[in-house]
Amino acid sequence: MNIIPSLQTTGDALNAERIRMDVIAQNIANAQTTRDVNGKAYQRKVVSFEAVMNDATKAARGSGNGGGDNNESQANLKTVRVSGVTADTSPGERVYNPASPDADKTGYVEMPNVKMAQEMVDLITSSRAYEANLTVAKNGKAMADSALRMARDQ
Amino acid sequence: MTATIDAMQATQAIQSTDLMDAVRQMTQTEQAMTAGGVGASGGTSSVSQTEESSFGDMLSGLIKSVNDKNNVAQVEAQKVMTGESTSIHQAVLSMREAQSSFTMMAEVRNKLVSAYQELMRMNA
Repeated sequence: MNIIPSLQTTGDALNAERIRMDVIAQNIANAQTTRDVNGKAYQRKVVSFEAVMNDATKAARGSGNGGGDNNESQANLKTVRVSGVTADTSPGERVYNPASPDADKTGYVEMPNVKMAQEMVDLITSSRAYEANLTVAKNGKAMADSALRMARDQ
Repeated sequence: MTATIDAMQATQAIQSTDLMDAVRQMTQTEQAMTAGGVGASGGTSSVSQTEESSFGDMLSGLIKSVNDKNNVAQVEAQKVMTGESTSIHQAVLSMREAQSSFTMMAEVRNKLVSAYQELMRMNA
């Protein structure tokens, strides 16, 4: 029984946006980190998403059962997941700071390639996308509720 | 929170038993009607009985799936509260789904009860 439409897709999308938000937070937190675990300056991380079949689609494909209105309409529904978190390899700014323990022989320190303005834009995009998915969930609930209300008033 | 969940479960239990009672009563009424009625032949009565049992099965299936959804929602909420999971949205979504499917079950029960009452009024 699946009363509210698009629940799994919306849930997965919210999860993916949550992970993106986590990664952005990590980038902002490490904007001044000159020593990552590999000893070099921190490199900003980028989240990429990919579309995957949802459970209903998998079930329909798995049973080899393309028939039936329900299965057919859901046969191509896809949901989203995080395909990977990759490092942005562009070089960071080099700052002259011989006092830093991470400075090289010439006294220059490589700073992380995190740009605060970009991270802020990503943050806004991510939170708006989260909101958009919540609106989808809210509308799905409203649709189911109004359909159920039809049984009551007559 | 736990109190709410308990209350929800209690209501659910009450509603479920009501529903099952209603089904049982309806089945009994129908059986009584067939027995005292036009003297239905063996063939038709067996057909109607299989239909009755499958309708009852369908209802139990509905109740079971509503119950499962409630359990899932409860587990998700517990996971969030104990810190085992961080996906609040997943918990809230499953709670909403449980709520909606519960409403649908209650609507089905209401329809069933009103149909039964309609049948009873036919006597008077």
